[in-house]
Amino acid sequence: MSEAIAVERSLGVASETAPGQSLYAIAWRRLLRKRTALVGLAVIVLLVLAAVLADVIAPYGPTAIFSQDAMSPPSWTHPMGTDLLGRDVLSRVIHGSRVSIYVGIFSLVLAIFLGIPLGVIAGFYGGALDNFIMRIMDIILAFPIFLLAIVIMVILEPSTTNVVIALGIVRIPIYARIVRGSVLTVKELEYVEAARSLAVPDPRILLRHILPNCMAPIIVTSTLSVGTSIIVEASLSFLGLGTQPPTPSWGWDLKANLMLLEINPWITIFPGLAIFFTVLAFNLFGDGLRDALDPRLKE
Amino acid sequence: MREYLLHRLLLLIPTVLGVTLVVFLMMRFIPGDPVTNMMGEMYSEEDARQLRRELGLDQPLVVQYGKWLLFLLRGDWGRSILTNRPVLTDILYRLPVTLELIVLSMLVSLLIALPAGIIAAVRPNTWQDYSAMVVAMAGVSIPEFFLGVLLFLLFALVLGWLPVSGYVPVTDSAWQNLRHMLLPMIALGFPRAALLTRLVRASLLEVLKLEYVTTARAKGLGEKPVVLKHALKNALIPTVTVAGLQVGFLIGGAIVVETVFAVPGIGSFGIDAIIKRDYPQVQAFVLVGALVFVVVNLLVDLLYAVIDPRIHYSRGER
Repeated sequence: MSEAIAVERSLGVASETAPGQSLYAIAWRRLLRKRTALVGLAVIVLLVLAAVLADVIAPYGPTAIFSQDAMSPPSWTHPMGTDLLGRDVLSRVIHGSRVSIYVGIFSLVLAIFLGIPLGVIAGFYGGALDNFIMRIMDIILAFPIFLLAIVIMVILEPSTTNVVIALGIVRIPIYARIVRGSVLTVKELEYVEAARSLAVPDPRILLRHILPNCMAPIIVTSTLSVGTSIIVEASLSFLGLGTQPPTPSWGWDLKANLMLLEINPWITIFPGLAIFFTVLAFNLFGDGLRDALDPRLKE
Repeated sequence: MREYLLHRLLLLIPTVLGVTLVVFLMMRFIPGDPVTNMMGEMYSEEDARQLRRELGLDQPLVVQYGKWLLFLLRGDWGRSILTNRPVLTDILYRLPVTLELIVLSMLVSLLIALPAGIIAAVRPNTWQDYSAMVVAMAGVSIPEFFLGVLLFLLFALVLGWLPVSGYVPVTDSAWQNLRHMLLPMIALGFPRAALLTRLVRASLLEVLKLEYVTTARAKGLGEKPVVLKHALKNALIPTVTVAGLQVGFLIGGAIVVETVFAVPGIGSFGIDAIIKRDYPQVQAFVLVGALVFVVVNLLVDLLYAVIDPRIHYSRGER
């Protein structure tokens, strides 16, 4: 047995069937070796902490007004300056992380919770149901993501939660397709097994094989899509179609402070940098994950 | 090949119909009464009655959809609530501006991505490779509107090299047109360039490992012909596909960039319409945006088929 593994290894084949070496264990070790991915992960953790502990960390409340110091550049009392109304930008940036994390994660959750069952149903039952579901997916995909998000925001009134719904809907087809593909593959195998064992294919068996099969692409797609979701939310808020005031949101704050660009560019730059570093962190981590989970890469 | 073309053109019809259906339903689902929405402040009982009859609002949804579709095909896309101008006129006036922006941005992204990706692939793990990858990583992480604001801050406000906003048609002055479009097209094109650079590098690296490249080298061909003539053509296949998919992001990004730089295209038109609740204009904006996307995807698919002769009618799902 160990001889077979040695031969496999010498041929450079990823031997995920080696004893005690699941794909995830290998992936985890690979991930730990990639420094950029770890930096990304660290920033993400910091971000989530900032979002959760915003009330504790932020020096002032996001709506606290200091009219004496309005529109002031970065200083010791206000490290990121103050906006038109005299609110501390640093506090607003810290609180703004809540919106971004909320949208990034929950739009994902929505898309997964709706997309995976749809993909399973379409793949499992096939035929007209499959066609119907996939046509709807195609129609969603016929729209550019941002445009479709705007359409949904036009129907639903602008708010953070509605942005989550919009982004969730837009992403459903991706997950449906991944899962459906996995179902189609596994369906073949199951029929062969069923034919041999004379047992009726159990939907639960399918589930135990489908999801592990497509877990890797789902994980990678999800991590990378958080970044895009954050950018889309910021863009929608920038246009006034997303998070509404007075809730602090990086996109909205950037737009609100834009009119002071000539006087005080810093209060525009800092929210923008917040978006940039957040998305960068998710992209670095997602990239690392993708490389770590890629079965084609040799050790 | 002709079969494939025909098949793709036929597929266009249900897709376009699906798009129109979504737009129609969107208009019906907007909170409020459709007629009041469409007439806004110009509301009068008589006109409202007339409009209701025309739209067949008392009839089943399917009939309404049919009538609405007929209106569209006849070229009657409604009138703006605020200006009372036919919406189609405004659209036709603004569409070329957005198309120009998108094409220029695509050019920018290719002009950056191809050389950068090629250099990074042929000199892997050197400082050229690493710096390209770092810049690329930054590029995909920055929102277009923020990049636009930064470029604006630096080049228009601080340095004063480029105009602050506005647009000059190409027909008036190509040079001025370029000056006004330069910042928007970089803001829009650079994040796309970043993504494409990574892809070009990855595809080229894969291709360069293949056997026929070794053969070409063994034949004594210089490195340049090997890379440029043989390897690149195949590496371009996934690149073209992704570049095509990027158009969706370009259309979305154009909406934001046009707003930042006050470019009079479809994007700023649409956002303006949404904010002012000028629903006939909103409808046209969404319709055009989606249709442009559908058409461009078709063109990309056809281009893909031309580049890779192995692609046929039975290509299956993308």
